Amino acid sequence: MPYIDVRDVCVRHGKNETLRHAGFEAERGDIVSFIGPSGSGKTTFLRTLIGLQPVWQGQMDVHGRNVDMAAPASARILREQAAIVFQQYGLFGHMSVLRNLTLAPTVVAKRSRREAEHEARALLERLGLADKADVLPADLSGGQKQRVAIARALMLRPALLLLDEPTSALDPHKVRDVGVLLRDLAQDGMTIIQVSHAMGVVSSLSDRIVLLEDGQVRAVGTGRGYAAQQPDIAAFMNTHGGDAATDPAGSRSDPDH
Amino acid sequence: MTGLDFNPVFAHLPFLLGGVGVTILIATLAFAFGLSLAVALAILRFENQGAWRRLSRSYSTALTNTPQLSQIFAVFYCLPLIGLMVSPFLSVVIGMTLNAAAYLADILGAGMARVPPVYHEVALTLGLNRRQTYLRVILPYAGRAMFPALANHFQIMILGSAMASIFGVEDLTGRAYDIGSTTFRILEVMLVTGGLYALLSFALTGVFALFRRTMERMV
Ligand SMILES: Nc1ncnc2c1ncn2[C@@H]1O[C@H](COP(=O)(O)OP(=O)(O)OP(=O)(O)O)[C@@H](O)[C@H]1O
Ligand SMILES: [Mg+2]
Repeated sequence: MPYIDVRDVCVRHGKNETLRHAGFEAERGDIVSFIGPSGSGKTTFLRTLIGLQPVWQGQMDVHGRNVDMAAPASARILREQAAIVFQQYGLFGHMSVLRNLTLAPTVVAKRSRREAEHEARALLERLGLADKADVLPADLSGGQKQRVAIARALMLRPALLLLDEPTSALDPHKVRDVGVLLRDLAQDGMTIIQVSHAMGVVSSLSDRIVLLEDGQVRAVGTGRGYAAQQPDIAAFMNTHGGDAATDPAGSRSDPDH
Repeated sequence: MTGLDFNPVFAHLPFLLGGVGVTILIATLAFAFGLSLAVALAILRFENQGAWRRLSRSYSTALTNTPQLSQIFAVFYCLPLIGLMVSPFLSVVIGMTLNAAAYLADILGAGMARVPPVYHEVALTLGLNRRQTYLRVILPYAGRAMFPALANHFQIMILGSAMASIFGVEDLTGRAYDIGSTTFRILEVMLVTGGLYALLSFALTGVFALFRRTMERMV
C-alpha cells in the first residue's frame, strides 16, 4: 500500500470539468512533479490536496488514513497533514521572518513561543537564513523569501509539502539551490508535490512525474532519473524545453558561484 | 485699543492647561470607540457584497458629508427623546465616535483592500480561524499600511473636539471661553489657546513618529 494514494479527483467549474478522475500514488519521501500544458489543471489539482479547491469527488489515503475529499469536513483534515508554498510566497509583510514562522505554531497549535522560536531559528539556520530571523520579508531577496516560505510551511510539520511553481520567479542558480533543498527535505522523509515548468529540475529531481492534459492524468513516470523517460513524458518535455540551466544536478558552470 | 495684555490670561493658565487634558480625553475616547466601530464597519463591507455592504458604505457617506457639529447636536437632543439622559461630555464623545467611525472605516477599508489576496489563503492553510486571521494578519497589516492616515485623523479630532465647548464641556476651548468672559481678554486667551492646540498637535506628530519607529523595530 503506497504512503499516499489519491484517486478519482473530479473538479468542476460550472460546466467545465477541470479535473477528470485524476490521481497518483507516492511513497514517503518521494518528490512528485505535476507537469502539463497551461490550463491542464496542475494548480487546481495541487490545491485540492490541501482543501483550497472544492472537489466533486475524490479519495485520498495518507499513511493508511482515508479522507473523502468531497466531504465538507475534509478541508480541515487535509490542512492538518499538508502545507503549501504559494508561488507569490505570501510572507506576512508586517511581521519579522521569525514571527512568520512562529505565528501558526503559537496561535493555532498553542505551542509555547520559546519552543516555537527555538525550532524556527534552527530551521532558519538549516536553510542558511540564520541572520534573517529579525528582518522584515520586504528586505529579503526572492530566493530568501522562498526559503522563508518553505520554512514557515515546515513549521507545521506536514506529511505533505506542496509547492506551486517553486522555481518560476528565481534565477537559474537559485533554481538549483531549491532543488538541492527539496531533495534534502525528501531525504528526511518529507513527501513533496510540486507543480513545475522547469523541465530540468523536474527530470533530475522527481521520483514520480505526473503529466496532466485537459484535466486528466495522461502519463505517470516513476523512478528517480527514469521518470522522465516514460515516452509521453519525454515527448512533452521535448516540446516544452528541458532547460539545462534549470537542472540542479547540471554541470553548467555558474558565474555567480 | 489699548494693546494686548496677557497677564490676566497667564493668571488662569493652570485652569486652561487642565482643559488640555479634557481635550485629549475626548479625542482619545472618541478615536478608540470610533476605531472599534470602524473595524466592524470595514469588515462588514469587506466580507459582503449586497445589502450589508451598502449599509456600511451609506453610513460612511452620510456621516462624512454632513457637519460633525450637527451630528453631535443630533446625539445631544435625540438621546433624551428615547429616555437616555447623558451628560454633555458623553454626548460629545458619542457624537464624535459616530463621526470618527465613518472616516476610520473608509481608511481601514482602503487598508484592507491593500492586503495581498494570497494572505487569506496562507492564513487558511496555516490553520488560522477567521478571528485569528483578522486579528493577526488583516487588521495589523491594514493598520500599518494606513498608519499615517489614522494618525492624521486623530490630530483632526483633537482640533475638532473644540466643538465640545458649544455644549458646555470644559475642554481647552471651553475653559478659554470661561477665562475670556471673566477677564474680557478674549483675543489674548484665544491666541494662547491656539498656541496650545498647535503645541499639542506638534507633540502628537512627534509621538506618532516615535510610535511608528518603535512599531517597526518591534516586529
Ligand atoms: N476559479 C475558476 N473558475 C473557472 N475556471 C477555473 C477556475 N480555476 C481554474 N479554472 C480553469 O481550470 C483549468 C485549469 O486551471 P489550472 O490553473 O489548474 O491550470 P494549470 O495547469 O495550473 O495552468 P498553468 O500552467 O497556466 O498554471 C483552466 O482551464 C482554468 O481556466
Ligand atoms: Mg498553475
